[in-house]
Amino acid sequence: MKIRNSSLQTKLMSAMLLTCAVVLLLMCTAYMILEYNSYRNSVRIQVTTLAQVIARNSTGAVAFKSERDAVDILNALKVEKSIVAACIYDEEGKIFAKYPADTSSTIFPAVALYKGFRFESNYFVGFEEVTQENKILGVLYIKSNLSAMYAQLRHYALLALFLIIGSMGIAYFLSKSLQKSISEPILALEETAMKISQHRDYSVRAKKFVNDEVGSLTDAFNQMLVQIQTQNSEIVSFNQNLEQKISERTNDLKQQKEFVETIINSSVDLIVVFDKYLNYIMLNKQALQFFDGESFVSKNLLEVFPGIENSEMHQNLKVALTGKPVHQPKYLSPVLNRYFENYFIPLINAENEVYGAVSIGHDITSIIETSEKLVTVNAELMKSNRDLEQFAYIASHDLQEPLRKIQTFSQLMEKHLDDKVNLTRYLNKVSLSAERMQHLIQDVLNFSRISNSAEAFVETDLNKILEQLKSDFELLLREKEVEIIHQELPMIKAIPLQVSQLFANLISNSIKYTERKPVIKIDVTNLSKKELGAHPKLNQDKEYIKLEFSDNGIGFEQEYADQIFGIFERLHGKQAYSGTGIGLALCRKIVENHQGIIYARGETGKGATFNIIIPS
Amino acid sequence: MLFFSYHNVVSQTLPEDKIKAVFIFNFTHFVEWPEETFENANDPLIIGIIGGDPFGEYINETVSGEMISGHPIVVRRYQDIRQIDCHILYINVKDAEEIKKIIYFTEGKNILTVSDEDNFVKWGGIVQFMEENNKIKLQINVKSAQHTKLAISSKLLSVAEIYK
Repeated sequence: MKIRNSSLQTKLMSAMLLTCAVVLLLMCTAYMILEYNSYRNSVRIQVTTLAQVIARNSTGAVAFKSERDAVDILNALKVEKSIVAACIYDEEGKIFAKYPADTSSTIFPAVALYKGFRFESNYFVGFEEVTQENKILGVLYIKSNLSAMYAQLRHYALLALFLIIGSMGIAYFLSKSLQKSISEPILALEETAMKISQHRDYSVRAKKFVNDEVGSLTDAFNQMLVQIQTQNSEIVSFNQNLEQKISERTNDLKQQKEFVETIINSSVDLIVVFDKYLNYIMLNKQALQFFDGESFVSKNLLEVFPGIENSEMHQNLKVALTGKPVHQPKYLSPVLNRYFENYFIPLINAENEVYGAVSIGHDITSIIETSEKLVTVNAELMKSNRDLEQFAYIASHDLQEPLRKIQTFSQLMEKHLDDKVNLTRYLNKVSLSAERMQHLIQDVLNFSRISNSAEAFVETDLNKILEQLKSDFELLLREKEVEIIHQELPMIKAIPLQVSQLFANLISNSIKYTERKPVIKIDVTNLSKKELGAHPKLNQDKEYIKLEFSDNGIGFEQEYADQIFGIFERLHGKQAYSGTGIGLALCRKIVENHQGIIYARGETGKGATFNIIIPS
Repeated sequence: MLFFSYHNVVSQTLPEDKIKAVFIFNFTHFVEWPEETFENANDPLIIGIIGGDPFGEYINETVSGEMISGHPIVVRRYQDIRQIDCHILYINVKDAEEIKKIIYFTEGKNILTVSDEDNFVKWGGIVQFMEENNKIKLQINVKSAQHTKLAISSKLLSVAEIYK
């Protein structure tokens, strides 16, 4: 505070003193210069005049070479103390007379150097021609010492110095008391201002000293303080209001945001928000879980999934960005390998401009799977129904037929209890019918057992199965003179019992429909890709083998090639060829059970070929 | 040949004679002749020499081109007293009676008479050259001068010894 105070005072005093000093200095300098010049001028006039007089007086002496006379004339210079030396050169330039007379000639210039006078450091020197009637007779040299002049100037300078010092002293005391009238009100005002800025107390007022500009400044300052005080209180109350409102609003917004986020995140659907350049803006919790998509935000869709460009998904989003909502009922995500029902909804602002799009994906994988399962189950059900219908048919026809016979022959036996011959014949008929019924029931049971079985698939050697069958049917094969030709068969994953049944049914079927010396040929090949392509029902990715059972039997017409695999379907009469009509149906069931297919080719009288394609 | 003869003449002039020649010339500056001695404004101021000429060409050289109040300066040498018509007359005659005769002849003719003769001013001549300490001094007979209308400058008088 002290330093600041003294600063303004110092400045004022310095300004006054400096002004004073500069003015005094300028005045004294100007006076000195003037004095110096006037001195020089007076010296010049004095010496040149003296020189002219001496020169004129000495013409006679020079003309008639009177040295004594010349010296006399020069001696007149004694009256002028400043003249320290003088001499006269004669016509030939030799020094003719000197002043003072006893001076050595060496102090004089050897010859007259120039015409006229000049100042040379401490001296005023020069040459004046001695002429008579325009005739130059000689030259006068005069040397005047200026030290008297300089001594006078020094005296003046000293006087000026004392004058300046004295004046400055007076000026100092004067300025010290005068500056107070300016600095004190300003310093007081400054102190007040400092106090206010330090304590922020705007109730303080500055004291007014005088009615000048500083006085009006004080008034203005006080008025400003009043205004600041009023405005301050207004601002404070306004600020408090504002702060409260802001905190309320922030709280509301926060709650709203949390509310919306909770709703969005509690959705089971995948919600993804894009901007109008398809950059990710937001993914809800469900979407984040699916995609692990924390890092997606602010990236572009195509940057994250480059392969998606121009896909259905991408197209739909682009349509949504034109303002049209899109509904995609079923979409298999190549990324997630799951099914979704997608909605692409444009985000439109108040100006009716699309600024983004929301993609809402509802996971319908389980529904799709269930419905696919339903289709399968439905097909199975329908097949089972068809089987049941066939069962009903058996019940009404095939199974009733031996029963009806047993009934008929039983009634006949009642009537002919005494007739032993006939009785035996009827009993035999009843027994045959019962046996046939037993066969029928056994086959139906076998068939239904395959439908329901869930036995395990194991590595199965087809050679062993065939050898076992050959030994089981040894008597029959020998009796019918059957020849089975086959190459080395492979190992496959299968249910051994069912494969055995398959082979048994196919062999017995061939034997049944061959009248003399049946020859059964079994071929096996790996199914080529080309052949596989001809059977769309098969899984195109799996490896298959193809087994061909061909015989030299009666064959069949190609148009019945499918029909023969139906249950209880027979092309030929019961009387001509024995059988229950279940064998080939059983074969088909077994092959289908092994995810394979069976089909037949034939021509009447030229044998039949059964092809089985199953996974290897 | 001409050069040789000129050089010969100059070398023949003695130093004191040279000073005297210059003094004679200088008299033209310190003495005023009345206008009646000149018929025309540009008539020459004549320096006459009677008797032997000790100056030779030197005095011609000294005055050559010089002017006094518009009058050129010429040097004339006289053999006969009756020839004398000049403003300054240097009398280089040894015979005393002859000198007195010339002084008498020139009286009242406004001629500044000059001589080396020891008794020249005593006999009524105006300016007399004297040797003193090897220096040439002047002696002037003011009375003789006052008989003419010549105005002799005080500066000249101040360097000369006055004969009364």
